[in-house]
Amino acid sequence: MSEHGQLPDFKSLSKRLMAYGLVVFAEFSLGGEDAVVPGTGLSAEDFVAKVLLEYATGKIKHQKSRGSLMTVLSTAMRNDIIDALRKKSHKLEETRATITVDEDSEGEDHEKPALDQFPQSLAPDPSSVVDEDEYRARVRAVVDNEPPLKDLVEAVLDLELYKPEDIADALGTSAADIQNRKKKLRRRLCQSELVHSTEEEGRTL
Amino acid sequence: MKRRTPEETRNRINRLSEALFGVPEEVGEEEAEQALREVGLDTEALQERVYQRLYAEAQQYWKAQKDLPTLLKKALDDLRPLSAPPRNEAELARQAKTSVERIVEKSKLLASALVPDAPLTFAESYRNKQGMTEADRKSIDAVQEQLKKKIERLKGKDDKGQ
Repeated sequence: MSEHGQLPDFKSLSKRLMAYGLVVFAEFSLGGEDAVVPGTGLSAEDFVAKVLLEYATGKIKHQKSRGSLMTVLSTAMRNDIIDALRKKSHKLEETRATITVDEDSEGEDHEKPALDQFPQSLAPDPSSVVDEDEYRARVRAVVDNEPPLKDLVEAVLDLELYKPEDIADALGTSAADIQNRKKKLRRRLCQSELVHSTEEEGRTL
Repeated sequence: MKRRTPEETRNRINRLSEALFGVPEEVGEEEAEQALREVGLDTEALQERVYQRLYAEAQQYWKAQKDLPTLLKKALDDLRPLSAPPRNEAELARQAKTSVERIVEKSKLLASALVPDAPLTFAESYRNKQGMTEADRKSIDAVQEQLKKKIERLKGKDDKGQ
Protein backbone atom coordinates (compact mmCIF):
# COMPACT_ATOMS: atom_id res chain seq x y z
CA MET A 1 0.00 0.00 0.00
CA SER A 2 1.13 3.55 -0.53
CA GLU A 3 1.67 6.12 2.15
CA HIS A 4 -1.99 7.10 1.90
CA GLY A 5 -3.25 3.55 2.27
CA GLN A 6 -4.05 3.40 -1.44
CA LEU A 7 -2.54 1.05 -3.95
CA PRO A 8 0.20 2.77 -5.96
CA ASP A 9 0.20 3.44 -9.69
CA PHE A 10 2.87 1.03 -10.89
CA LYS A 11 3.09 2.63 -14.33
CA SER A 12 4.11 5.95 -12.84
CA LEU A 13 6.31 4.28 -10.25
CA SER A 14 8.24 2.25 -12.84
CA LYS A 15 8.94 5.36 -14.94
CA ARG A 16 10.09 7.43 -11.97
CA LEU A 17 12.25 4.62 -10.61
CA MET A 18 13.83 4.08 -14.00
CA ALA A 19 14.62 7.79 -14.35
CA TYR A 20 16.13 7.83 -10.87
CA GLY A 21 18.05 4.62 -11.63
CA LEU A 22 19.61 6.33 -14.65
CA VAL A 23 20.70 9.23 -12.43
CA VAL A 24 22.33 6.83 -9.96
CA PHE A 25 24.03 4.97 -12.80
CA ALA A 26 25.31 8.27 -14.20
CA GLU A 27 26.60 9.27 -10.74
CA PHE A 28 28.85 6.22 -10.95
CA SER A 29 29.93 6.79 -14.54
CA LEU A 30 27.48 4.39 -16.12
CA GLY A 31 25.66 6.17 -18.92
CA GLY A 32 22.84 5.39 -21.33
CA GLU A 33 19.96 2.94 -21.27
CA ASP A 34 22.21 -0.02 -22.16
CA ALA A 35 24.73 0.62 -19.39
CA VAL A 36 25.41 -2.24 -16.99
CA VAL A 37 27.38 -2.64 -13.77
CA PRO A 38 30.70 -3.98 -15.11
CA GLY A 39 31.09 -7.70 -14.67
CA THR A 40 27.54 -8.28 -13.48
CA GLY A 41 25.56 -7.42 -16.61
CA LEU A 42 22.94 -5.75 -14.43
CA SER A 43 21.23 -2.73 -15.98
CA ALA A 44 19.22 0.05 -14.34
CA GLU A 45 16.11 -1.76 -15.55
CA ASP A 46 17.17 -4.92 -13.69
CA PHE A 47 17.41 -2.95 -10.45
CA VAL A 48 14.02 -1.29 -11.06
CA ALA A 49 12.36 -4.65 -11.71
CA LYS A 50 14.00 -6.13 -8.61
CA VAL A 51 12.70 -3.50 -6.18
CA LEU A 52 9.26 -3.48 -7.77
CA LEU A 53 9.09 -7.25 -7.48
CA GLU A 54 10.28 -7.17 -3.87
CA TYR A 55 7.69 -4.55 -3.03
CA ALA A 56 4.88 -6.33 -4.90
CA THR A 57 5.62 -9.60 -3.09
CA GLY A 58 5.96 -8.00 0.33
CA LYS A 59 9.74 -8.35 0.75
CA ILE A 60 10.04 -4.58 0.92
CA LYS A 61 7.45 -2.99 3.19
CA HIS A 62 6.48 0.62 2.97
CA GLN A 63 6.22 2.30 6.33
CA LYS A 64 5.18 5.94 6.52
CA SER A 65 7.97 6.73 8.96
CA ARG A 66 10.55 5.91 6.28
CA GLY A 67 9.20 8.48 3.81
CA SER A 68 7.17 8.16 0.63
CA LEU A 69 6.97 4.93 -1.34
CA MET A 70 9.19 6.43 -4.04
CA THR A 71 11.78 7.28 -1.38
CA VAL A 72 11.73 3.79 0.13
CA LEU A 73 12.02 1.98 -3.21
CA SER A 74 14.62 4.38 -4.62
CA THR A 75 16.77 4.05 -1.53
CA ALA A 76 16.61 0.26 -1.73
CA MET A 77 17.51 0.42 -5.42
CA ARG A 78 20.38 2.85 -4.85
CA ASN A 79 21.82 0.58 -2.15
CA ASP A 80 21.53 -2.43 -4.48
CA ILE A 81 23.40 -0.57 -7.23
CA ILE A 82 26.19 0.55 -4.90
CA ASP A 83 26.43 -2.98 -3.43
CA ALA A 84 26.75 -4.44 -6.92
CA LEU A 85 29.49 -1.95 -7.80
CA ARG A 86 31.32 -2.65 -4.57
CA LYS A 87 31.02 -6.44 -4.78
CA LYS A 88 32.40 -6.32 -8.27
CA SER A 89 35.36 -4.22 -7.17
CA HIS A 90 36.11 -6.67 -4.30
CA LYS A 91 35.92 -9.60 -6.66
CA LEU A 92 38.32 -7.92 -9.03
CA GLU A 93 40.78 -7.18 -6.23
CA GLU A 94 40.69 -10.81 -5.11
CA THR A 95 41.13 -12.31 -8.56
CA ARG A 96 43.51 -9.77 -10.07
CA ALA A 97 46.75 -11.67 -10.72
CA THR A 98 50.06 -9.90 -10.96
CA ILE A 99 51.21 -9.93 -14.54
CA THR A 100 54.96 -9.85 -14.85
CA VAL A 101 57.05 -10.16 -17.93
CA ASP A 102 60.73 -10.74 -17.40
CA GLU A 103 62.22 -9.06 -20.45
CA ASP A 104 65.80 -9.81 -19.38
CA SER A 105 65.53 -13.54 -19.08
CA GLU A 106 67.18 -15.03 -22.10
CA GLY A 107 66.94 -18.43 -23.52
CA GLU A 108 63.70 -19.18 -21.77
CA ASP A 109 60.75 -19.92 -23.93
CA HIS A 110 58.04 -18.17 -21.97
CA GLU A 111 54.69 -17.01 -23.27
CA LYS A 112 53.81 -13.36 -23.13
CA PRO A 113 50.53 -12.60 -21.39
CA ALA A 114 47.53 -12.17 -23.65
CA LEU A 115 46.38 -8.59 -24.24
CA ASP A 116 43.09 -9.09 -22.48
CA GLN A 117 44.93 -9.99 -19.28
CA PHE A 118 45.97 -6.37 -18.91
CA PRO A 119 43.47 -3.89 -17.45
CA GLN A 120 41.57 -1.99 -20.14
CA SER A 121 42.58 1.64 -20.10
CA LEU A 122 39.12 2.88 -21.12
CA ALA A 123 37.12 0.89 -18.58
CA PRO A 124 36.45 2.66 -15.27
CA ASP A 125 38.37 1.12 -12.43
CA PRO A 126 35.62 -0.49 -10.34
CA SER A 127 37.60 -0.13 -7.13
CA SER A 128 37.51 3.66 -7.50
CA VAL A 129 33.87 3.95 -8.55
CA VAL A 130 32.55 3.95 -4.98
CA ASP A 131 35.20 6.35 -3.76
CA GLU A 132 34.29 9.79 -2.42
CA ASP A 133 37.16 11.68 -4.05
CA GLU A 134 36.43 10.07 -7.41
CA TYR A 135 32.76 10.89 -6.96
CA ARG A 136 33.55 14.55 -6.28
CA ALA A 137 35.85 14.74 -9.31
CA ARG A 138 33.19 13.21 -11.57
CA VAL A 139 30.56 15.72 -10.43
CA ARG A 140 32.91 18.68 -10.94
CA ALA A 141 33.70 17.50 -14.46
CA VAL A 142 30.00 17.53 -15.39
CA VAL A 143 29.55 21.26 -14.70
CA ASP A 144 32.82 22.58 -15.95
CA ASN A 145 31.48 25.60 -17.84
CA GLU A 146 28.03 26.25 -16.41
CA PRO A 147 28.16 28.94 -13.70
CA PRO A 148 24.76 28.39 -12.01
CA LEU A 149 25.35 24.65 -11.75
CA LYS A 150 29.01 25.08 -10.91
CA ASP A 151 28.04 27.41 -8.03
CA LEU A 152 25.72 24.76 -6.64
CA VAL A 153 28.39 22.06 -6.92
CA GLU A 154 30.99 24.26 -5.22
CA ALA A 155 28.59 25.19 -2.41
CA VAL A 156 28.03 21.50 -1.67
CA LEU A 157 31.51 20.13 -2.27
CA ASP A 158 33.66 23.01 -1.01
CA LEU A 159 31.48 24.79 1.54
CA GLU A 160 29.84 21.55 2.69
CA LEU A 161 26.35 23.02 2.58
CA TYR A 162 23.66 20.38 2.25
CA LYS A 163 20.29 22.02 2.90
CA PRO A 164 18.69 23.93 -0.02
CA GLU A 165 18.07 26.92 2.30
CA ASP A 166 21.74 27.09 3.33
CA ILE A 167 22.94 26.77 -0.26
CA ALA A 168 20.44 29.44 -1.34
CA ASP A 169 21.70 31.83 1.37
CA ALA A 170 25.31 31.31 0.34
CA LEU A 171 24.53 31.89 -3.33
CA GLY A 172 22.13 34.78 -2.73
CA THR A 173 19.16 33.10 -4.34
CA SER A 174 15.98 31.29 -3.32
CA ALA A 175 15.56 27.69 -2.20
CA ALA A 176 13.19 27.17 -5.14
CA ASP A 177 15.97 28.22 -7.52
CA ILE A 178 18.28 25.69 -5.88
CA GLN A 179 15.69 22.97 -6.44
CA ASN A 180 15.55 23.98 -10.12
CA ARG A 181 19.31 23.83 -10.38
CA LYS A 182 19.30 20.34 -8.88
CA LYS A 183 16.80 19.27 -11.51
CA LYS A 184 19.04 20.72 -14.24
CA LEU A 185 22.04 19.02 -12.71
CA ARG A 186 20.28 15.63 -12.79
CA ARG A 187 19.59 16.18 -16.46
CA ARG A 188 23.08 17.43 -17.23
CA LEU A 189 24.60 14.42 -15.45
CA CYS A 190 22.60 11.93 -17.51
CA GLN A 191 23.30 13.82 -20.75
CA SER A 192 27.04 13.97 -20.06
CA GLU A 193 27.18 10.25 -19.32
CA LEU A 194 25.17 9.54 -22.46
CA VAL A 195 27.66 11.53 -24.56
CA HIS A 196 30.54 9.85 -22.76
CA SER A 197 29.18 6.34 -23.37
CA THR A 198 28.52 7.15 -27.05
CA GLU A 199 32.10 8.34 -27.45
CA GLU A 200 33.42 5.19 -25.79
CA GLU A 201 31.30 3.04 -28.12
CA GLY A 202 32.69 4.95 -31.08
CA ARG A 203 36.24 4.32 -29.91
CA THR A 204 35.70 0.60 -29.44
CA LEU A 205 34.08 0.10 -32.85
CA MET B 1 43.84 10.63 7.09
CA LYS B 2 41.08 8.59 8.65
CA ARG B 3 40.22 5.49 6.67
CA ARG B 4 36.47 5.23 6.28
CA THR B 5 34.44 2.04 6.30
CA PRO B 6 32.45 1.24 3.12
CA GLU B 7 29.27 2.15 5.01
CA GLU B 8 30.64 5.55 5.96
CA THR B 9 31.75 6.19 2.39
CA ARG B 10 28.34 5.21 1.10
CA ASN B 11 26.56 7.47 3.57
CA ARG B 12 28.79 10.40 2.69
CA ILE B 13 28.24 9.88 -1.04
CA ASN B 14 24.49 9.57 -0.49
CA ARG B 15 24.52 12.83 1.46
CA LEU B 16 26.39 14.58 -1.36
CA SER B 17 24.01 13.06 -3.90
CA GLU B 18 20.94 14.40 -2.09
CA ALA B 19 22.46 17.86 -1.78
CA LEU B 20 23.51 17.94 -5.44
CA PHE B 21 20.85 15.99 -7.31
CA GLY B 22 17.94 16.11 -4.87
CA VAL B 23 15.97 13.34 -3.22
CA PRO B 24 14.29 10.63 -5.34
CA GLU B 25 10.87 12.02 -4.46
CA GLU B 26 11.69 15.10 -6.54
CA VAL B 27 11.79 13.03 -9.74
CA GLY B 28 8.23 13.54 -10.93
CA GLU B 29 6.45 11.63 -13.66
CA GLU B 30 6.88 14.41 -16.22
CA GLU B 31 10.60 14.72 -15.57
CA ALA B 32 10.93 10.94 -15.67
CA GLU B 33 9.23 10.71 -19.06
CA GLN B 34 11.49 13.42 -20.44
CA ALA B 35 14.61 11.75 -19.05
CA LEU B 36 13.64 8.38 -20.52
CA ARG B 37 12.90 9.97 -23.90
CA GLU B 38 16.30 11.63 -23.88
CA VAL B 39 18.13 8.34 -23.49
CA GLY B 40 15.92 6.83 -26.19
CA LEU B 41 14.04 4.52 -23.86
CA ASP B 42 10.55 3.44 -24.89
CA THR B 43 8.49 3.57 -21.68
CA GLU B 44 5.88 1.13 -22.97
CA ALA B 45 8.55 -1.41 -23.85
CA LEU B 46 10.12 -0.88 -20.41
CA GLN B 47 6.79 -1.47 -18.69
CA GLU B 48 6.17 -4.56 -20.79
CA ARG B 49 9.52 -6.04 -19.80
CA VAL B 50 8.87 -5.30 -16.10
CA TYR B 51 5.42 -6.87 -16.54
CA GLN B 52 7.01 -10.05 -17.95
CA ARG B 53 9.21 -10.36 -14.86
CA LEU B 54 6.30 -9.84 -12.49
CA TYR B 55 4.21 -12.27 -14.52
CA ALA B 56 6.93 -14.93 -14.18
CA GLU B 57 6.79 -14.44 -10.40
CA ALA B 58 2.99 -14.60 -10.45
CA GLN B 59 3.17 -17.98 -12.18
CA GLN B 60 4.86 -19.42 -9.08
CA TYR B 61 1.81 -18.43 -7.06
CA TRP B 62 -0.58 -19.87 -9.64
CA LYS B 63 1.35 -23.13 -9.81
CA ALA B 64 1.23 -23.39 -6.04
CA GLN B 65 -2.50 -22.50 -6.21
CA LYS B 66 -1.96 -19.53 -3.94
CA ASP B 67 -3.67 -16.17 -4.16
CA LEU B 68 -1.57 -13.39 -5.64
CA PRO B 69 -0.47 -10.72 -3.17
CA THR B 70 -2.68 -7.64 -3.64
CA LEU B 71 0.24 -5.46 -4.72
CA LEU B 72 1.46 -7.99 -7.29
CA LYS B 73 -2.04 -8.22 -8.74
CA LYS B 74 -2.27 -4.43 -8.93
CA ALA B 75 1.19 -4.22 -10.53
CA LEU B 76 0.19 -6.77 -13.19
CA ASP B 77 -3.05 -4.90 -13.87
CA ASP B 78 -1.27 -1.55 -14.16
CA LEU B 79 1.60 -2.76 -16.32
CA ARG B 80 -0.37 -5.17 -18.51
CA PRO B 81 0.67 -4.39 -22.09
CA LEU B 82 -1.91 -3.39 -24.66
CA SER B 83 -0.79 -6.26 -26.86
CA ALA B 84 -1.93 -8.79 -24.23
CA PRO B 85 -5.32 -10.41 -24.94
CA PRO B 86 -8.14 -8.62 -23.09
CA ARG B 87 -9.53 -10.55 -20.14
CA ASN B 88 -12.88 -8.77 -19.89
CA GLU B 89 -15.13 -6.14 -21.46
CA ALA B 90 -13.59 -3.26 -19.53
CA GLU B 91 -10.09 -4.20 -20.66
CA LEU B 92 -11.24 -4.60 -24.25
CA ALA B 93 -12.81 -1.13 -24.10
CA ARG B 94 -9.66 0.35 -22.57
CA GLN B 95 -7.46 -1.19 -25.26
CA ALA B 96 -9.81 -0.05 -28.04
CA LYS B 97 -9.91 3.48 -26.61
CA THR B 98 -6.12 3.67 -26.39
CA SER B 99 -5.72 2.32 -29.94
CA VAL B 100 -8.18 4.88 -31.31
CA GLU B 101 -6.47 7.67 -29.37
CA ARG B 102 -3.15 6.68 -30.91
CA ILE B 103 -4.60 6.68 -34.42
CA VAL B 104 -6.14 10.12 -33.83
CA GLU B 105 -2.83 11.37 -32.45
CA LYS B 106 -0.97 10.08 -35.49
CA SER B 107 -3.50 11.57 -37.92
CA LYS B 108 -3.20 14.91 -36.13
CA LEU B 109 0.53 14.80 -36.55
CA LEU B 110 0.08 13.94 -40.22
CA ALA B 111 -2.45 16.75 -40.68
CA SER B 112 -0.22 19.29 -38.99
CA ALA B 113 2.61 18.22 -41.27
CA LEU B 114 0.40 18.65 -44.35
CA VAL B 115 -1.25 21.92 -43.33
CA PRO B 116 1.37 24.62 -42.84
CA ASP B 117 1.25 27.02 -39.89
CA ALA B 118 1.98 30.06 -42.06
CA PRO B 119 -0.97 31.91 -43.67
CA LEU B 120 -1.96 30.30 -46.94
CA THR B 121 -1.40 32.06 -50.24
CA PHE B 122 -2.79 30.61 -53.44
CA ALA B 123 -1.02 30.77 -56.77
CA GLU B 124 -3.46 32.88 -58.73
CA SER B 125 -2.06 32.32 -62.19
CA TYR B 126 -5.58 31.94 -63.58
CA ARG B 127 -6.05 35.69 -63.23
CA ASN B 128 -3.85 36.30 -66.26
CA LYS B 129 -5.42 33.61 -68.39
CA GLN B 130 -6.99 34.81 -71.58
CA GLY B 131 -10.53 34.02 -72.45
CA MET B 132 -11.82 33.94 -68.88
CA THR B 133 -14.99 35.78 -68.12
CA GLU B 134 -15.64 37.83 -65.02
CA ALA B 135 -18.05 35.12 -63.88
CA ASP B 136 -15.32 32.46 -64.23
CA ARG B 137 -12.97 34.54 -62.10
CA LYS B 138 -15.65 35.05 -59.47
CA SER B 139 -16.33 31.31 -59.36
CA ILE B 140 -12.65 30.48 -58.95
CA ASP B 141 -12.27 33.20 -56.31
CA ALA B 142 -15.22 31.71 -54.42
CA VAL B 143 -13.67 28.22 -54.56
CA GLN B 144 -10.39 29.67 -53.33
CA GLU B 145 -12.16 31.42 -50.46
CA GLN B 146 -14.02 28.24 -49.52
CA LEU B 147 -10.80 26.26 -49.54
CA LYS B 148 -9.07 28.81 -47.35
CA LYS B 149 -11.93 28.76 -44.83
CA LYS B 150 -12.02 24.98 -44.81
CA ILE B 151 -8.28 24.74 -44.11
CA GLU B 152 -8.49 27.44 -41.42
CA ARG B 153 -11.35 25.49 -39.80
CA LEU B 154 -9.29 22.30 -39.87
CA LYS B 155 -6.31 24.09 -38.37
CA GLY B 156 -8.53 25.59 -35.67
CA LYS B 157 -9.86 22.15 -34.72
CA ASP B 158 -6.38 20.76 -34.74
CA ASP B 159 -5.12 23.50 -32.41
CA LYS B 160 -8.01 22.98 -30.00
CA GLY B 161 -7.43 19.25 -30.01
CA GLN B 162 -3.79 19.64 -28.97
